Amino acid sequence: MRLRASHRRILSISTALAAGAFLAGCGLAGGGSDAENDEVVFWHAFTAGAESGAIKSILDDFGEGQETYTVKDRGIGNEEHFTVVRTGLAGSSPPDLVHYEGYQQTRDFAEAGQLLDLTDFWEKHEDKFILKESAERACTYEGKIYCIPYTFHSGFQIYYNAELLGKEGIEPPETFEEFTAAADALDSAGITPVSIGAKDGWPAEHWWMNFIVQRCGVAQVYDVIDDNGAKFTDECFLQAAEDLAGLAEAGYFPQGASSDDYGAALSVFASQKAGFMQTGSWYAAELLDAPTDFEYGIAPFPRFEDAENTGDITGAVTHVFGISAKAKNPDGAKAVLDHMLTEKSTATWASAGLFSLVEGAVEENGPEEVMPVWDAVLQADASLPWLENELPPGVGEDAIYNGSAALVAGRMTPQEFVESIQAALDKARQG
Amino acid sequence: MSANQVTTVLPEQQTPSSRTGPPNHPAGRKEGRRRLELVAFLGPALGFYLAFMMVPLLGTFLISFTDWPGFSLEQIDWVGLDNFRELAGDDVFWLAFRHNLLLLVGAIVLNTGLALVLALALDQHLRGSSFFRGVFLMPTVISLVVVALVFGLGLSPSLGFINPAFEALGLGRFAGEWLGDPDRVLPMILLLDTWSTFGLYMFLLIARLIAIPKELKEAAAIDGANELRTIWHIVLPLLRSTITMVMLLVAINSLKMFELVYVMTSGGPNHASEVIATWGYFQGFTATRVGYGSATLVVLLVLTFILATIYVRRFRMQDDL
Repeated sequence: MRLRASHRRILSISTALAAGAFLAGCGLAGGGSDAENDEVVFWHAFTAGAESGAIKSILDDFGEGQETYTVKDRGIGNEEHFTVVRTGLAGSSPPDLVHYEGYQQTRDFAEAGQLLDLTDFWEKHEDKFILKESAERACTYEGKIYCIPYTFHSGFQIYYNAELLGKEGIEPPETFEEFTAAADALDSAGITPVSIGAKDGWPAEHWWMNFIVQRCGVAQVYDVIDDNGAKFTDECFLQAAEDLAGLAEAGYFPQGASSDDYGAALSVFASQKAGFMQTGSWYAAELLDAPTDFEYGIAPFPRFEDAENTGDITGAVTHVFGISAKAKNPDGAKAVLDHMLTEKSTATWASAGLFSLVEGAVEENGPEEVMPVWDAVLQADASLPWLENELPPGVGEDAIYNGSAALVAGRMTPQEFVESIQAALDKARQG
Repeated sequence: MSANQVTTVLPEQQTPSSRTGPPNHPAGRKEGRRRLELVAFLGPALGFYLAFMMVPLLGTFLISFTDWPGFSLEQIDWVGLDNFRELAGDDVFWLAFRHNLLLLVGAIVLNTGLALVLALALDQHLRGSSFFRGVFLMPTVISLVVVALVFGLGLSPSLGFINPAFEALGLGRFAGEWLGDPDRVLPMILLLDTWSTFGLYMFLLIARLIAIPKELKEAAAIDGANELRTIWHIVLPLLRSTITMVMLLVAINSLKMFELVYVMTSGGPNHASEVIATWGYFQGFTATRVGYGSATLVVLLVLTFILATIYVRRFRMQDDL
C-alpha cells in the first residue's frame, strides 16, 4: 500500500500514540515506586502455598534487617502473571523488581530494553550457584545476563497414593513397564490409574516431554529448537507421542482428562480417586504446606527399559528475578536480591520444599520428602526446560498445548500431533 | 409534511436566529445557561465515552496495521494490510468465525424463542407469574465469569454434578464429556449463554406486552378468536418490532462472546470452541502479536458494527414514524 510521506507520518504518530495509550493504560495497573527512593516495588506470582509463606518470611526478614528500604510486594495469580508483567514492564510505571519464568521471556523483555543488565551482579554471585548452565540459559540475551535465577522445578517425577497402591499390593514402579502393570491393576480394581487435567494443555505436554527426553534426549530437542537439522516429525518424537496416546488408549486417564483443568486433577488425586499423578516438583512443596490425609509418595518418573537416553530429565529454572530498566529504585531492588541470595533466605526457600539454585541450600535444608527428586536433578546429564518457554507461543502454547490435550483425549493421532507441531514451527520461522 | 398541515412552532423548535438575542438580552443569557447545562450534563459521559470507548477502538484499529509484540513502542512496525492478508489464510480464525456464526444463529433462535414463549406465558397472569419473572431474571445478574466457573466445575466428568444427576435419573447414557467433546462443547456454551441472558430479553418482551391495549384482545375475543389466534393475529404483529430488537441485541451479544468460552474451555478442545474474541485475545496477549490480535478483533468490531448500525437505523426509523 502506497501512502504519501505526510500521511504515513500522521499514521505512525497516531499508531504510536495508540500503542502508548495501550501501554500507559496497562501500566496504571500498579507498579511504580514512590517518589521517595526507599520503596521497592516487587511483583511476583507467589500467591499461595509454600511459595507464598516463604517469600513473606524472606521479605519480612529483609524489612527487619535494615531501615533503608521497604518492599511493597504484589502477588499476581499464575495464569495472569505473564500478561500483567509484560504490560507492566512496558507501561509507564513498572515494578522495580519482577519475578518471571526466564528463557524466551528474558529474551523478549531484554530485546525490548525493559530489563537492567545484571551481568555484573551475576558475576559477583555466580560462584554460589549450581546448575549454572541451565541458570544462565534462562537469563541470557546476546551474551549478557538480565535476571537472577532462583528456583529449579523438576518435571521428572510421579506422585502416588501409597495407601491405594498398598491396598492393591502394588509396589511404587521404577520402570515404565512396572508403571503400566500397576495402572492395569488399579484399573481392574475400579480405581482411576492416573489423574490428569489437560484443559490448559501443559499437564499433557509434560507427559510427552518426559517421554521425549527418554526417546530423543535433550540434545536432539535442542537440535529442533535451534534448527540444526532435526524435526518434531522425527521418529523419536513420534514414538513419544505414541507412548502418550497409548496411555490414553489403555484407559489410564479419567474421563474429562482433556476438559478438566490442573486444579481438578489435583482434587481427584487428593480425594483418593486416582493412584498416580505426574506434575512438577512445586507440588511436593504444596503437599508439605497442606498435607493430604493419606500417605503419598514421590518417585522418579518411570523409565522405559529400552530407553535410549537414561540420564536426561525434564525441568527448568522457573523462578527468575529481573530489575526493570525503568526502575525508580534499582539499588533497592539489588539490595532485595542480595538479601534473597543470603544463606538464611535460601534456607527458608529450600526448607519450604522449593529447589533453591544456591549451592547447599536444598541439601542442608530440604525436607526429606523432596530429596529423592532433588538427587535425581543433580544426577541428571541434562534437563529439558518446558518447551513453551523455548518455542514461539504459536508452537508451544497453541500447537503443543492443544495437540497434547487432543492426544490425551484420543482425538488426534500421534502422526497428526507431531506434524501439527512441526507445521506451526515452520510457520513461526517463516514469520 | 403536507402543505395544508398547521404547524405550531413551540419554543424548543424555534430557529437559532429567532431564539438568540444580543448577549446581554435575557434570551441570550438563558441560551448560554442552557448550553452550559448541556455541557455539564453530557460532558462527563461524553468524555468517558471518548476516553474509554472511542480511543481504544481507534487504537485497536491503528495497531491492526502493525506488527507489534507489545513490549515497547520502538518495536512498532507498520505492515499495512499484511495482518488482514494473513487472517484470510488463518484456518483457526475461519474456524472461530464459523463458531461465532453458529452461536449467533443458535442464540437468536433459542434466546428469542425462549424469551417469547415465557413472556407470553407470564403475560397470562397465572398464579406465580411474578415469582417466575424474578426467577428467570436472576441468571442475568450473575457475572458470566461466575457462571462459567460454576458450570465448568459442574460439567466436569471427574468432579461435577451433571453426570451423577443424569445417572440418578436413569439417563446415564447421556453422561460423559461435556466440554472436552468437540461435538458437545459448542451446544453446551450456547445453552449456558442462553440460560444466563434470556431473562433480560424476556423482560423487554413483557414490557411491550403490557403496553398492548386490553381492548384489542377483548375485541378479538368478542369476534370469537381463541387465545392462540389472538396471540397469532393480534399480539405477535404488535410485538414484531420488539422481537426484531431482541434478535439484534442477541446477535450483537453473541458475536461479542468471550467470558464463557475463555473461562470454561479457553477455546478448546483443540480450538473446537474457539471464537473470534478468544483467538484475538490469544494472539494479542499470549502469542505477543498485538498487531495480529488487533486485526482479528477489528473483524469482530466490523461485524458488530454492522449489526449495531442495522439496529440503530431500524429503531430510529421507527421513532421517526
